[in-house]
Amino acid sequence: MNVRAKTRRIFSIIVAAVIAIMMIVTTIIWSFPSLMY
Amino acid sequence: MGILLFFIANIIVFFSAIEISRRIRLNTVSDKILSVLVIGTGQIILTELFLGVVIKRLYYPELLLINALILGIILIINKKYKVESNYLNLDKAKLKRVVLDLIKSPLLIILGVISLVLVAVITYLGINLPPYGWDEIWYHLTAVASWYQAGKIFMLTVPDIWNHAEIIHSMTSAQLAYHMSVAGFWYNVYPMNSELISLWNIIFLGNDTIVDLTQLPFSIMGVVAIYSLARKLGLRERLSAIAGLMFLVTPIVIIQSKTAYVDITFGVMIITAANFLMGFMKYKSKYYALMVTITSGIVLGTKSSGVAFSILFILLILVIDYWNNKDEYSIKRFSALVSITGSLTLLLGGFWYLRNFYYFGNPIYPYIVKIGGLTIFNGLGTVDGLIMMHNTPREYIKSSNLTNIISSWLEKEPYYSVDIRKAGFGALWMIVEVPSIIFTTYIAVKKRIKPLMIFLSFFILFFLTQPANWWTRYTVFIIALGTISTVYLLDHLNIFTKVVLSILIAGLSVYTTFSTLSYLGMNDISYALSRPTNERTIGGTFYSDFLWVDKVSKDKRIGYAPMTFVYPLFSPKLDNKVYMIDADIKDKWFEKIDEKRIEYITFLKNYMYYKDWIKSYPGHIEKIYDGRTLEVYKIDRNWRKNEK
Repeated sequence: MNVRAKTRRIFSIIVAAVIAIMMIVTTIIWSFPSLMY
Repeated sequence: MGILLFFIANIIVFFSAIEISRRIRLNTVSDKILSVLVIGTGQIILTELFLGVVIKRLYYPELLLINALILGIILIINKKYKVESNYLNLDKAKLKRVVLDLIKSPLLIILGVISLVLVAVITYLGINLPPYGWDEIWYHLTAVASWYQAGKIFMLTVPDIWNHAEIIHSMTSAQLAYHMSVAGFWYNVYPMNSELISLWNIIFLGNDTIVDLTQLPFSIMGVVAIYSLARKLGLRERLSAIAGLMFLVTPIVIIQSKTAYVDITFGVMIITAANFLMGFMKYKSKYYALMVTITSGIVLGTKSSGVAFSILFILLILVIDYWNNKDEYSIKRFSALVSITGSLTLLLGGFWYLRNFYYFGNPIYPYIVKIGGLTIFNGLGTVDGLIMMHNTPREYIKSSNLTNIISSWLEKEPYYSVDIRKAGFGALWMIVEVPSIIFTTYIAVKKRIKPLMIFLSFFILFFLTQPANWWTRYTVFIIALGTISTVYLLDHLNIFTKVVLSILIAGLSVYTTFSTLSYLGMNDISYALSRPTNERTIGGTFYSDFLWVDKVSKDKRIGYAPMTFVYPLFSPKLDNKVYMIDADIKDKWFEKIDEKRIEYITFLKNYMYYKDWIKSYPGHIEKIYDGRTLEVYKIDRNWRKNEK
């Protein structure tokens, strides 16, 4: 795997992780609205 | 007949806009389409202003005639001074290749199908339901109906309280905000370019059947504007189209598309101006600067915060022009550009501010304008005191603006509605688009991609320029930043993550669309749709306090004391004559009722003194309705005449 492809792969993993975290956070917030205040 | 006239009028404006656009040499097909849409909108605004303000004959024959005249003149000019005959200059082979490429994207196909369903549902609702948004039946359409009946654009009669400076200046901010919300005069002080488009949708048809679809064409225009912007950033057609369609599946866009509000028009015009600004930078063509200016003029005349945006657009044109011509820049060039952009912007949006200045000595009345400690223009109060205090959710008042923005983006309302405050951008925004903006910013900075950095800076600047930016309907333009960043990011991921993210986008788009449309399942809308066609009026569906309007026969003279919702009094065919009847003393109020030969008088039961006054009206009256908020009395005009 060349450097460019490796960088892209790492970047993709970070993006996927962040979006997964956002999904979990928003799902929790929408499931328990009382958490917001 | 009305439908035919409306069709002809639109064809005339469409061809005029094409003919005018032929003289504005833009580089891409999407820019040319946007140019036709912007110029068509501008033509409607300017012809209505000319007829309604200058010659005071704003009726459909005159409106049709003046637009036909414009088309004729442009055709003659274009024939004399040759222009390219094939306006869009489509390369058929390229078009075929692009279409074939587009249909290969499952995500694009899913978004395309959702968008078609959405447009069909919104159109169905718009045609089958009356306008029911608070702001439209409060002031947007009250102005439109009054102009339509009078055949001119004029200052509507305001509640008497606003004629007594000593009373209003002794009020606290809270009292002022309360009176403003009940007996406001927003129809006289707000810029109303978008309301002129609503009028266009009424004037030929002679009824309000499609007036609540006024913003739908602008939502579709938003798709084209975002597509065009994305293309300027070097994105392929397929990804650009995905970014465009993602705009349409945003809850606030879906909901507001079936209203005669102004927020979509405002937001989409800002996105369009940004697109032309990027074009000005990329192609260095004066025609792009011209299009920014025309679009910015429409922005100025659509919403008061348009003042800040139009100034910003002119400044950005000046900066880009300086950048493009650093070596030969001169004061002369600067002055010429300032005067041309300034005057064109004012031509398209300045009228409303000029009107305020003429009547109140303050272009943005009723807001006080202060620079430092110095009052430049006097008014009744600040934007916060008069509007925001009343409109900000209680839990937002004490928290920071950033907290409020994040709260709104996290969507805490149980369901979507027309006047939604604490939500509106949907699941896609917070889960995918916000992280994408951050990652795309990283890519732009890391790889030093100048156009991308400038695009990101523009939209962040726009977001910071907009007051109360926690309110999603005020910041519709920011969706462009989110959708374009998302597709930009997609283009920089490995194939596996790209596929997973595309599936997530498709899933969330379907979820968002259905959760937004599920508000249609709410009782009042289902009930409204279940009514027979002729009973789907504002009173017959959403606001039963106005059902009496349907029961009194047409062409009535209806008087109202200061109250919030006035538009329902006009009736769907706008055939009732509606008059504000207000005075500070009882006898004067009675005089005005008689002077206008009012047949039905209505007032809010809990506002001011009208409920007590009506009891001693010196004539034969009969209470015909005693509702939740309103009382209505029928006045026997013949009895009064016989008595005299």
